[in-house]
Amino acid sequence: MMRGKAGKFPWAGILLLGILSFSMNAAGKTPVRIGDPFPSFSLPDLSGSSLSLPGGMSGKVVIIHFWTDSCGNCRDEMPALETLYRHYGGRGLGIVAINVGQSVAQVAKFVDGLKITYPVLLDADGKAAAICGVFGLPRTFILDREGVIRQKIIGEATEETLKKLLLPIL
Amino acid sequence: MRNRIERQREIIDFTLSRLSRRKGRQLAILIVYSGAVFLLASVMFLVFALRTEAILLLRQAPELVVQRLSAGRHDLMPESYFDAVRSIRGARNVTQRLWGYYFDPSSRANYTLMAPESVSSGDGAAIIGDGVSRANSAYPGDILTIRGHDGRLVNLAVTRVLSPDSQILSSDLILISRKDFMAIFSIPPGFSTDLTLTAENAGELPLLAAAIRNLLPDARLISRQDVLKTYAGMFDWRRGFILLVLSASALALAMIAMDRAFGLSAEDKKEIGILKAIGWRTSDVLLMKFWEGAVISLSAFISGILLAYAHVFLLHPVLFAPVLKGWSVLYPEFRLTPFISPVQMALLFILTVIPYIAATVAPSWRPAAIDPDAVLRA
Repeated sequence: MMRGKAGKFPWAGILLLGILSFSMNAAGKTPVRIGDPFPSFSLPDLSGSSLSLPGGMSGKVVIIHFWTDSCGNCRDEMPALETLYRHYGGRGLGIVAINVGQSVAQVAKFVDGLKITYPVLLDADGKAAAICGVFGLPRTFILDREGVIRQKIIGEATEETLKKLLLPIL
Repeated sequence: MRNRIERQREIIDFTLSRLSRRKGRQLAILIVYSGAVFLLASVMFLVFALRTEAILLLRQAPELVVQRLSAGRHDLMPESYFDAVRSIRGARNVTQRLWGYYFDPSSRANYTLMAPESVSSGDGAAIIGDGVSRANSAYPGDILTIRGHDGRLVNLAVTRVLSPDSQILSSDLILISRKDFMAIFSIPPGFSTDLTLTAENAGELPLLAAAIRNLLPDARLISRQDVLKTYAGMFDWRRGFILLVLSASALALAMIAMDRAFGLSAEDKKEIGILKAIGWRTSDVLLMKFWEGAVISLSAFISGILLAYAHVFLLHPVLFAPVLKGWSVLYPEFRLTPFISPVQMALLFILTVIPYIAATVAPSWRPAAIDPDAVLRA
């Protein structure tokens, strides 16, 4: 039922981001930039457990990836992140994928299909995305072990690009 | 002299206390009047600021752009065209330009990618317009990814955000190196999107254009004046603004007509008769009416102007933005530089304050001039 409803509105997440973007700009919030500490928030995962960021990943280099399944390119990036996670997880790499504006059922189905093992969080109302200045998808942040933003990728990223940006701080 | 000033003061005091006795009506007039001034002033400020900004920006635009048409469509220009134009006597600063539109699915916006010779951002780097920065929350140090013609991703490190001062024309710009541009759009070596040039003598521009047309029959020439016309059309000055000005003027006129229709009520006439009976002269009554009109119209003028200034220059012209926006998703923020012309202010004053004062004073002339007994009996 939920899948069906969400499927009717593939741009709902992006629209939500647009509205939040407008309200963020109107409120004059400080933009999130490289060198800033990553904003703190908690989000539920697919099982309903909550994960705090960046506190819940402290001591790790973290890739935080904002996505939605209506973005075609995200389908390529999620498995690329899984490859990196399996390869560098032992060296202290943490990966968190944050879905923006979609239902649990929809996200679960997408994730199952891709056999993803890293945490996938749900930002149903897009508030976390707005806090992070994410007004389009996909967006990827790379945080160092202190939770400071070291890289921000606007748009898609390949496995090679992520690896190149990641390795110097891993 | 002192007596005169004292007389004015007393009449002003009387006028103010008289106005305060009819607060509701005066406030309604003030609100409608301020609204009319606000609309008129907003349009005037906006048109003047946009025109001034456009003129300043277009000073930097090329005098002449030469494009190549193929089956009526804009096509890439081979180096031979560049050589041909350079060989024409009087052609100066002939430059090969590389630019193109790019739709970004992630922000659902169109960008204008450009690879200028003069601004070199270096390979793998990008200088972005303020609109691109705002739409993506992109700042120096971030990586912007662009998908090239072959599906390959090109990573561009943002090195600078262009000043918001020039955002009307640069809001959606992404400046990249020529090498990156050619890789993204698959431009063969030696080819360019179009040519720009200046005439050695501005008066010879038509001759130069004719020579180019002669030499390159498939060329399309766009002069700075053409760009100005397109720019004017983009903001729809003629239709949008005139419609707004007319509607605002109609509102102002309706307000004045309404006030005149209220005009001199029996109560007003009786009051004038009483004032005359207790020794007021005709000139005193007319002076009172003058101050009454002046207080209302000046208050409305000042509040309308201040509101219009805030609307156009501080809050982005939110009411008129839909009229001004182009086709692009990346709208400029319309934070305009406050250019205000004194002539404009004087015109606005003449259009809004003087008619109201006249409309207030004129109907009082007859009751103020005739015998008070006749007024009171009427």
